[in-house]
Amino acid sequence: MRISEVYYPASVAEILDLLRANPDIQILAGGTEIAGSQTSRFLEFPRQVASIAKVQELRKTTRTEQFLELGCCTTLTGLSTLTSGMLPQPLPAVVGSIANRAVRNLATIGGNLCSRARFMDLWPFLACMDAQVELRSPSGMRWASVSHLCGEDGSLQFPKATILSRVRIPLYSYNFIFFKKLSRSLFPDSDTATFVCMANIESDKIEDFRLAFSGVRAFRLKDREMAIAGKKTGSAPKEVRAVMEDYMDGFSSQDWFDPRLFRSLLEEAFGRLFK
Amino acid sequence: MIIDITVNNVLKQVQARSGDRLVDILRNELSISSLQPDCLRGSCGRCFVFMDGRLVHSCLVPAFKAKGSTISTYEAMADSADAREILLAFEKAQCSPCAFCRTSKVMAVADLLARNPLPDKEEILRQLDMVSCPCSDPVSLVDAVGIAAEMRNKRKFNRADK
Amino acid sequence: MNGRERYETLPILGALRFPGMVHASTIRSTVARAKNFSLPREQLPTGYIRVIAADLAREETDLAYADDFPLFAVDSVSYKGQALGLIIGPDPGLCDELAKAVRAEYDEEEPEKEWESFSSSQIACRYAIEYGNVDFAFSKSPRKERSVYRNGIFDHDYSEPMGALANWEYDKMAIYCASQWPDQVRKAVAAAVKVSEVDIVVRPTHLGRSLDGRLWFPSYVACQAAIAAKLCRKPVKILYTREEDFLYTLKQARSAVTIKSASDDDGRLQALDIKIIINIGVFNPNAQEIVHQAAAAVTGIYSCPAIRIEAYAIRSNILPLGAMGSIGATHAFFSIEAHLNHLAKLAGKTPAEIKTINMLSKGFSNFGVHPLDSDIPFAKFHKKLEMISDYRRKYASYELVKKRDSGSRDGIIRGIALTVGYQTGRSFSGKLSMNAYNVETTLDRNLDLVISTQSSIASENLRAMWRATAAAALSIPESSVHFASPNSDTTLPCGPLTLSRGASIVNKLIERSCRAIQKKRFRESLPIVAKAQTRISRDSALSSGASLGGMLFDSASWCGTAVEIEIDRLSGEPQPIAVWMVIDAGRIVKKELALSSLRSSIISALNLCISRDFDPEKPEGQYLSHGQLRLANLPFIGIEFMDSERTTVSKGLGELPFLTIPAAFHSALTQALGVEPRQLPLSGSEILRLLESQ
Repeated sequence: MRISEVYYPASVAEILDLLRANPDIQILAGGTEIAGSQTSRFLEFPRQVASIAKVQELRKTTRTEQFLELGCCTTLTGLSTLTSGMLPQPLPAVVGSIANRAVRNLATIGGNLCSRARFMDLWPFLACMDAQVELRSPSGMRWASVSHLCGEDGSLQFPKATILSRVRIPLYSYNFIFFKKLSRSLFPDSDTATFVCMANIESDKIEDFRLAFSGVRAFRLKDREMAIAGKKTGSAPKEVRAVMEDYMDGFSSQDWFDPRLFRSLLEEAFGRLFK
Repeated sequence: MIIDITVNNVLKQVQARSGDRLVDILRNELSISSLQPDCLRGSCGRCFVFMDGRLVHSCLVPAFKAKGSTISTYEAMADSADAREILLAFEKAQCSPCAFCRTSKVMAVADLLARNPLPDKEEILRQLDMVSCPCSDPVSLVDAVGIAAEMRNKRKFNRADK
Repeated sequence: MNGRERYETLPILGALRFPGMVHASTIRSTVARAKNFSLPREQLPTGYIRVIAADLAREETDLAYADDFPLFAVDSVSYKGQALGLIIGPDPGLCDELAKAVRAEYDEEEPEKEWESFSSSQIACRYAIEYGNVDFAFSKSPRKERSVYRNGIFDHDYSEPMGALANWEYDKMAIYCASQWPDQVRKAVAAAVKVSEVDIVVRPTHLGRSLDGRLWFPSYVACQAAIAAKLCRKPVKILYTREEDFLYTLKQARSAVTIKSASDDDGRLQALDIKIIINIGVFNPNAQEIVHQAAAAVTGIYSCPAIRIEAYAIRSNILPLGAMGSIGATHAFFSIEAHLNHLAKLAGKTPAEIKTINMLSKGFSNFGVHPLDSDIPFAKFHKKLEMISDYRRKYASYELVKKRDSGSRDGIIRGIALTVGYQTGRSFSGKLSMNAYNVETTLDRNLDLVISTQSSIASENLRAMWRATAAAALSIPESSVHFASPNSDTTLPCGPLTLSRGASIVNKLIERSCRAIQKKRFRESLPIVAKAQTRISRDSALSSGASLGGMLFDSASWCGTAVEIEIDRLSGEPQPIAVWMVIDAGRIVKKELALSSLRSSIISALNLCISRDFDPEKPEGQYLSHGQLRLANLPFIGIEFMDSERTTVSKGLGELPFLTIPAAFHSALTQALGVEPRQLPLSGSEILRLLESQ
């Protein structure tokens, strides 16, 4: 039974000091992932844990005309109770699909993006929206695209000794949205995945197209997205099928999800997009 | 470690190890009997507490995280008008939650009605889905919450019974 | 009241604490089979001890819970997760960790995984019966079909994880556990700690919904707790975590039912040759009952002049498997209904047509014994169900869509099916203890009635029904009816409280004893005590043959069930969208409570159809993936009772959803897919593959 040292930093500066001293310290905000994935009576943590949920500067929300910026310790309930006009679609539906309300009362947006085991539900939406995350480490601070949390092979890539302090979501709106979460259980497992497809359609032409899919790993093909942008929604079925098969080809190297199920999601999305 | 938590309006200093779950501290150190650690994954609701005003599964809260928090358990609301109305509503709707889930269901309903005095059926079922119990009957649960909502609103707005 | 305290609700095991109480966690085998094993001596923290079989050699204990199923493995291991011993200490979390950290060494053997083809040494019990000239009928018949129907392993998901607490009470050992059969707990614990039964008192804790998963396993855990308490002279509580319970306790048995049928050109059955194989895992003391119930149910409500049935309970090196929701009949009923639907498709008929052609009728029976004294009420239930579910229109339109868009996943993919089934009032066990129920009622001077029966461990809904029955019989208010605490010192023993059979028997006994009081009430002074008990029927056992034929339907309750499902086009997961049940279970004492209880059971039965099949060979990780129907996604449920006002006899109805819903669900799935899956459950991926195969 390992007894861990627990720290309660009061500011981001204190968190960074802790990271400097021990890059392997566990940063814990909501704690739902670590507690929900352990089913024994006693929870196991690394040697040191920093509980950051009460750090005020990590709970702030600001909105400009172009962005919504959220502190990483904003709970998912806190996020969903922002006035409806503030939230880009389909964010309310994505958040609402996560576990249940009592879990969302604890779980944070930062924790959802920083899971070490898998990609959680927010990643595909935020990736499609070109959201950015503020990463702070003892060596400095930078903004990075949410997409950069995903390596080339689709695996999680979170830098060591770093905290994700803020999330900035551009307030674009898309007039075509398809979101589907596949999940059989409350907490994510190997069969859980989230699919988001968004586009802007002007005069039957697809101006902008985004598609992201994640589960144990993530999948996004920007070159395919660019190839679809510019096509007509009334494209010939043969052309639509070719685009879809192109996507399936890109997915064929992924071994973390049943391609049959991914195909069904793709067919549904494309079926709605290319009427 | 010693952590300070306010539990049911009383400041307590409790001994906790880093791996203790809040539910175990509340039960074992503070003898809060309404809580039961069961699923340990946030699906059964039997460990519900209000933490800083929000309904949470205390099995998902490492005890150390509760430092400085205000915790309210069923015991704090058991004698309240809200709880009495909800229990009466269960009776009127012939909804009989078992001893395992009764207190959790009362807390879930109280939380829902505090946020939305007139919840619809979908919202009621989504909320009560957090208290997963094989005894759950959706029809009588929805009826019961409807009755509880009506009683609560009448009380809050001083409406006489017709 | 003779010292019998009344109670409103039983304690919850998890909430019980006694001064000096310690906890015990189970050291489990990590291999499925070993001819011997050894546990290294490990340094434990102060205050913690380890108990294994070898330590108990000099103690007055008996580890043989059953011949092949010891309380702790002695030298060999028979299944992954088998109890090798206990770690006992003050902190349950640390006990768990210490137990998991034990590294046993095994002399492994190849586990017996095969069960559909099995060796004779695996047979736990067998039942066979034959009537008519089966082989001749097959040789003459123009149509012969063979299908195998399979059911998976399911978790009971009852109200509280398994556990037991053994406490010292002056001159006795008190056992606290949630069991459907407290009397059996007492007997088992007395044998385990080698004392007489009077030295053990069982104080039942709140049972909640057990779904027949707590018939015997609680006594097994109680024996372990009792041995631990005897050894360390302190109260000992064993309470599994939910995950541990999910991974290592009793589950619904896996089954394979092979049905070979011979029928004429009209689809009329000429012969049935049926083999039922039920995998009971390493052990089940009720294997015979399970096999008999399955054999009795496998011909359903259908007539056949020549029948051969062979039913086996097969042991294998996996965790114990057994009853769920009904004791064996679910598997059988699902299979015969699926086979009849298959024959309907081949004959170009609707399922209702083929079933009607083959229906048992008054004056006839299978096996040449006990002709039916009334027709099977198939038409009555079918007609009512068709009306309330709009079955005909939906069935026709889903058939049309299927033919037009075969294999396509555009549009809706739906199916609807009806089934009519029954829940027998009969037991097939020849064991006295399983069939003996006792009730004692006392009307006191205040005109309060106290009911004393160990069956009062039942749910509040059931007790409300019994309360109403007693109140009506004595013309007293229901608030004057109370239950005495069901501890084994003060209440007479009873057979198990199964989903329905025990409940309806106890109801009759309460009524009978109250009527006995009523007769004496104005002639004798109060208090008046009356007792009522069941007597075992000599022809209960299926092996006597006397329980077959029309006797199966004697005091049966009936229902028609319609299930409508939709296949999620994206995930392939089948979603139930509506369930209708029409039930004739005699007099319904408390209609609203019966409806509420049925709705909960319907949800549990639907979960059987959509839950993942449990894999006992790779149990890790399955707990977190375990998902069930969410309240927010529940289907419409419509229930009607038929003829409940016309009779004074109440019959059991708790098993009806478990018997009929899997059968109807499977049939609806068959219609939606256009192919017959022949097993439950199916994953979304498997369903998509079946759709694509069209």
